[in-house]
Amino acid sequence: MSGQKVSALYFDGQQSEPQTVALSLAEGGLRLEGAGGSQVFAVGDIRVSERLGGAPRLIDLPGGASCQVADHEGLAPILGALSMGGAHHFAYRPRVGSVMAALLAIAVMGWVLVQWGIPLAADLMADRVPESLARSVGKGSLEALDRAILSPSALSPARQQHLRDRYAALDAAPGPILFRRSGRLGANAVALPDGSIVVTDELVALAGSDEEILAVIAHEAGHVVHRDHLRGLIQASMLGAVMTLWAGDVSALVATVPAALMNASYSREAERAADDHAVAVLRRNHLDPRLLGALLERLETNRRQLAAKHGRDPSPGSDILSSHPLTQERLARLAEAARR
Amino acid sequence: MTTQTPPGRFVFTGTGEDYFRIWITNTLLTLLTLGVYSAWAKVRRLKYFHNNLSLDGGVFDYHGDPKAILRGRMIVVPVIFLAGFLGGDKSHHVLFLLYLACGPWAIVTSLRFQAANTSYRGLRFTFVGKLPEAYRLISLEMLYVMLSFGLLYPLWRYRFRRFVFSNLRYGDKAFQFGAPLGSFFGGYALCGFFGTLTIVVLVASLAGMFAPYLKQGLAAAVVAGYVVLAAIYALILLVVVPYLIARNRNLIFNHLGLGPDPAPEELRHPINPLTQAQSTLHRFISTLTYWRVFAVQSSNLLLTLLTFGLYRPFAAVRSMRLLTDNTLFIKSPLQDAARSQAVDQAGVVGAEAGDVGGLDLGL
Repeated sequence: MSGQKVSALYFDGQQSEPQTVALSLAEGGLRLEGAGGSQVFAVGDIRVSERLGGAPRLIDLPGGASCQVADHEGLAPILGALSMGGAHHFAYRPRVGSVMAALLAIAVMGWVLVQWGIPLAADLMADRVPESLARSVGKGSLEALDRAILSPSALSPARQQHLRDRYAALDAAPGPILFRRSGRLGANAVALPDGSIVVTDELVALAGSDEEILAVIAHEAGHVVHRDHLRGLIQASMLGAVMTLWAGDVSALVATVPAALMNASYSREAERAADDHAVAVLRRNHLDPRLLGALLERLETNRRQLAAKHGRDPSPGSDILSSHPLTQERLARLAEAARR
Repeated sequence: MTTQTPPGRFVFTGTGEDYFRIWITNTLLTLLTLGVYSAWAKVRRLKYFHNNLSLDGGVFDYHGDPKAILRGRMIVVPVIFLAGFLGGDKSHHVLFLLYLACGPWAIVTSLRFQAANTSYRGLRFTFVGKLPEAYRLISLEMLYVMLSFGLLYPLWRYRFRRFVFSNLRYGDKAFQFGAPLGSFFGGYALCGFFGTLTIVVLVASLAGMFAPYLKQGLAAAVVAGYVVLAAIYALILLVVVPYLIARNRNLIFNHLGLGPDPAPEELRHPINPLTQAQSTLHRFISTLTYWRVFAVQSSNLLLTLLTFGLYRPFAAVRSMRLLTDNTLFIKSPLQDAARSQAVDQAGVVGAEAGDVGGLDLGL
């Protein structure tokens, strides 16, 4: 057994031509015999590569030299006797059962990561960002919107201030409340990344009462308080990174659909949280929690009418109607929250 | 130890099944360690592909230290993330500026690390590209490319590939880059010409088909627009990309030499079997064709999509096999064996071959 010799190619690390040598077990290590003589290397001085499929084993020797061994069967007992290069639990051929189990584990962990891990990480990060920084992300969005789809409000300054004062009395999130007219947006409200909330004249006109308007503003304020724009940005970036890692070079196509679905799921979650925030604000101020649901239904009907008339769909993002169509689920949830 | 393969053939002994198991282990452990294991996973992956690649009886090896890779990743990932995130709306600008400022340094460092940690027959590769040249090429010239609306891109790509290859050494032998710029440009020009022709024809015919519907409003025009875009995307992915991959790689390798002598005249031509015995350079032959690249790429893509990404390890092995099956290395009998460079440029190479700043930025 100890006399067994294994043929190997020896590369001296100084020039590229190999010599054929014989490896065998020796006292205290590995013996290498070749044209230039014989040498014994201690176990601590050499490093053996892992078993990697059909590749030859590479033994790194001191001084930059190395051996390339293709004879796996011959080498195994020698390595075994030296307690090196033994069976790695994940090296050559794990059983099909282990592979299936590993695949399942990967699928589950991947799902957990994407469904909960990313939102959690985004929460932690979004909360730690200083207020000034959070507001600066998306600075200038109001100017951009003003140039594009918003025009100055037709409401009287007194009316605007009245609504602002009533909202201020609710002691909810601060941040300027701005009134604009927008044919493009229609009856709508949007929370901007810098914390301001835009309410359209059309929404004010459509509302059944001032309280309904306050409910909508409270929902948008929920987005501001939860820093949903920032959170969405973080989640989308992390999701993109995960998808790229998984799908590699084909990520452009493979990743887009799952990523889009996941992002939609994240934003639905944000909408639910904002709804809850609004209901809490209303409750706290002894207002009817059903107000939000009532106005939402009105807005949805109005939106459908506009869509049918003009053949297009307003609503740019985290506005009040961003979960289209207004799901029965959302209304039911609001009704349920109101009952409690 | 004799091999049965003919001399000059690159042989890849990896299989999809084997690599799949390695890939699963890597992915599992990477997920469990929230990404920290990814550095060890990368080393194992590279070792698998290197050790299974043999040429004339010798295999390649990868010596990267996972800790160095981890250090590199712990720098790059937060930097990119922060830049993208702090920039907000302007994150594209921030990232672009970051690229201009640090890109060349990161690329050169990565190339140095990659080369120094790759060996064949016991000798290491080295990358000797200099930073000033890298900055001129990657930052400055990229700006020219953008100013030209991308028309200068083929030229830039050519110069970049030349920068990489002509600064690569194997032991004491240098790679000599001799690909003709004209042919290189020609491939892109051909694609541009036929691509534009196809798109014009496509748009014209679609306009004919869609015209009656366009009057019905914006929605129909948007749909038509999407169809055109999808067709263009498909055209690029299925026709242009495989064609350029095959053509460019063939051009680069067929005009690539290895040896001390630059021999520009000889490198102007692909290898000549009749005169190779008198050549001072080792030469390469690349025999990729559009169809082979298209077949492998499109089937890889399709199967990866169908299996939600699980086919990836098999795809990687197939792509590698495509390259190795289509590459030959023809030695020149006039050259001695390659020698380690540690003797000559001790200062530079010593640092290079050992711990390259202990960082792999993985670009």
